[in-house]
Amino acid sequence: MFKEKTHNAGNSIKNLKNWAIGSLNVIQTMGVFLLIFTFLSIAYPRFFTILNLTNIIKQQVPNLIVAVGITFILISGEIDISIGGTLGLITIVTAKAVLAWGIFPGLILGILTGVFVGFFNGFVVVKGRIPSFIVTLGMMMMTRSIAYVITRGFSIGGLPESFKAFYNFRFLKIPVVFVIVILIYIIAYIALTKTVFGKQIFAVGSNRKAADLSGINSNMVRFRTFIVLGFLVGIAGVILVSRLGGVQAETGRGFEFEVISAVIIGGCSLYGGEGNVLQSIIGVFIIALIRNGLNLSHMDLYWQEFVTGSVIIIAVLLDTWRVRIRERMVLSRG
Amino acid sequence: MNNPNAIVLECKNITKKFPGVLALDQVDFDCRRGEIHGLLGENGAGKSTLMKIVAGAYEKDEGEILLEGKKVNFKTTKEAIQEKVITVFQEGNVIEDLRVFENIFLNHELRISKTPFLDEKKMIKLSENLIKQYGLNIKSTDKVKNLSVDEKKMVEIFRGLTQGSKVLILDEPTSSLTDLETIKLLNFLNELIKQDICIVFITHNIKEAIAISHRITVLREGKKIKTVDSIATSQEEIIKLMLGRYLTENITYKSNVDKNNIIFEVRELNVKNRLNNINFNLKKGEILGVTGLVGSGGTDLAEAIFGMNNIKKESGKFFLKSKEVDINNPVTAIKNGIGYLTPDRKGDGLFLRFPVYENITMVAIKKFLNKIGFVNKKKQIQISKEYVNLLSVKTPSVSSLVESLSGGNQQKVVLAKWLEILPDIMIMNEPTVGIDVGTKIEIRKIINNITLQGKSIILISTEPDDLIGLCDRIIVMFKGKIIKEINGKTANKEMIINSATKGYEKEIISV
Repeated sequence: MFKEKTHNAGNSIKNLKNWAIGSLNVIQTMGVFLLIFTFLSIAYPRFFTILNLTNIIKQQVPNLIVAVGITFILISGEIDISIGGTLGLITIVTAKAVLAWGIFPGLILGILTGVFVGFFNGFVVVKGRIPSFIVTLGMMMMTRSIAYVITRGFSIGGLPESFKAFYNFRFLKIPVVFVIVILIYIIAYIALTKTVFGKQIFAVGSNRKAADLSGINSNMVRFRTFIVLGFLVGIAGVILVSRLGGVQAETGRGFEFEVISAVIIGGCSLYGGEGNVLQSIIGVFIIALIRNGLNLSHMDLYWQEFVTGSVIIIAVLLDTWRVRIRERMVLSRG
Repeated sequence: MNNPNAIVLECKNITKKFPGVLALDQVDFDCRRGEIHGLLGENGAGKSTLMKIVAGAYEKDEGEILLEGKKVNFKTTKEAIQEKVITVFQEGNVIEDLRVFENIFLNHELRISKTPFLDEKKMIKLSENLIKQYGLNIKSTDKVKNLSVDEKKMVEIFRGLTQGSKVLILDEPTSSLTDLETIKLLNFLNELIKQDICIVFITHNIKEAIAISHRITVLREGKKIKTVDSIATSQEEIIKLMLGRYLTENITYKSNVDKNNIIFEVRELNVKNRLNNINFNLKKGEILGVTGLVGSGGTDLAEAIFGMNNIKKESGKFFLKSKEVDINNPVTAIKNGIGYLTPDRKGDGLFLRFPVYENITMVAIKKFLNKIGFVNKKKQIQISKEYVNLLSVKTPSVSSLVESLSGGNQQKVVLAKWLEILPDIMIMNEPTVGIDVGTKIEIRKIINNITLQGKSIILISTEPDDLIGLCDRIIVMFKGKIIKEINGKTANKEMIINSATKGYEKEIISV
């Protein structure tokens, strides 16, 4: 009896240790977030106000939605840098369609544009056996180009007020867009952790060959992941049009790197097989806080990009260190 | 130099802790000049850990290491190499695209004096001398990728020699070699030891250790059990020291083959440059062994049957229960009731960073859905626990990451993964490679048990012990062709090796 107890005690310490190793990335990102949050609250009285905080969240709606898709893509071991260009194209298509045919067809066409781009990306990556970085790099330029062809460089305005009102619409005092974001996160969380599709995304990203040999159709999994991402970019795109009220072909320039770096800061591994949507939220907000802080500090606008860029490098460095630390802590006996 | 039998390497009271495990517990070890010292133990006994500490890859927690009587404390492998302690790791560390002499002088290239230019002539000449001295059948200007596995090992050892090694640590140098290649390598070591060095030889193969080393040290669970003189010991004694008990000798395996019931047949299978007119059948409940030298076609055959896309069939038909089936990818193979256990469990058999239970349930994941289509984690864990008990997998819990398990236990996890769907035909490729004696026997028993449930197995192995007595029939392959069929129950090691090496008869070097 006594023996069993000491054994259990030893086990629980071990479990605690294992948990700590496993949660290294959560602890890390949460810590960074709280650190920045506390610093900003103390340094800038204007930071910790309801107005400022709601504004931050509202601005981050498109990033939050697309971050879910990017989390899926990175877990599956792929990448998609076309999302910025796609977002631009979607906003143009949506605005044009809303003006021509009305709100509902506009929404549908906007989302379909995202799905189609995802479909194309996934198809070429899988069937052409081309690295997703290259395919989506090309797609980034193609989508941006089409956006310019449609608009000839002019911005599109004059969208109906009712469409613009959607963004600020509240249900029981809660902005509807927040509800959409929360729903997407709940569905994504369940899909990743509780469904076969989710398990397969992790498996493919962790070891594609082993996944194939376990009877998982890794091509199909990756293809579907690209479509999921495209769909989410579509939703983010139409919401963005509603917020901006007017759009131009340049919309979404640099969006890809903002979202990808946020997801990586959130602890999603660039090497595939690791990540979780809840951490990606923290990642998005870390980037948002940094931007907000830079604004509040009145730092030279031209230097702000520099700071955000360096944060991305630091985040990837942390990711690499984390992998190394874990490798060292996982016992290698022989 | 003065004393021919002086102790070169001495480890005293080495202790090493990993989180949750005492990997080494006050281990003493020494190796003399001109000695080959075998280091044996089961997986997880601490052999590799000890040598990694000597080589500077790990830091020790306690104890001291003396090199020619001088205390040393290597913090990196580079420091160890500077002090002439050279390790040849199990995985192989040659650069395939470089030539032999470039590999030999890798990272200590010779230069034309006072210039930054490489002295290729001199490097080639020195390499040729070594090759000649040890009677190898290669040229110093051959690309390393064209060499056999044993020759690659020798190139690595040459690299150590040209660095003037005092201590040469060989970590399971024979684990990926066939018997013939092993013989060649062991002969080579026998020549090598006449130089002024000492060799630490880590191995799983007891016979080899007794044949080649002067002394043998056995570790078990991180403790040094005993050092014995090879002349005065026996295989049985070593096994007892390793396991702490005698193995039940001469296990007999029950055969469950239904000779009149052909479940699977391969007709006229051809794959360019790989497989040449393969015809065979598999009966219900049968274990069909496939053997040959490494690269003789067993793996290609398995991959062709499993529909892997790196294999392009030129011709060939598969018949399942006399009905022709078209298998173009692993998904359809599995749907048709064919499973494949790959030889490279870490590379493509496991998801190393996933917990044990996710690995065990990966192939059969659709069996673990609840009513609304979500994966039922409780059920995954419960079933996994049953397999962990059934196969006695040593793991802290089913939620532990697979990468933290030892090789033998990882292999059991791969087996469990396939047992959960239990395909009618299971192809197993080198199921016991790189694992310890005790676990090897356990795995063979599991394989036997699978056939007792009426399932059939194609067992590809270059280790005769996997095949003899366990298989009903054994097919011998050579350069992509089936050259012989042997009755597995009456086969012996000599028969298998003789047929496997028939094509290479001229090159056989006797011990």
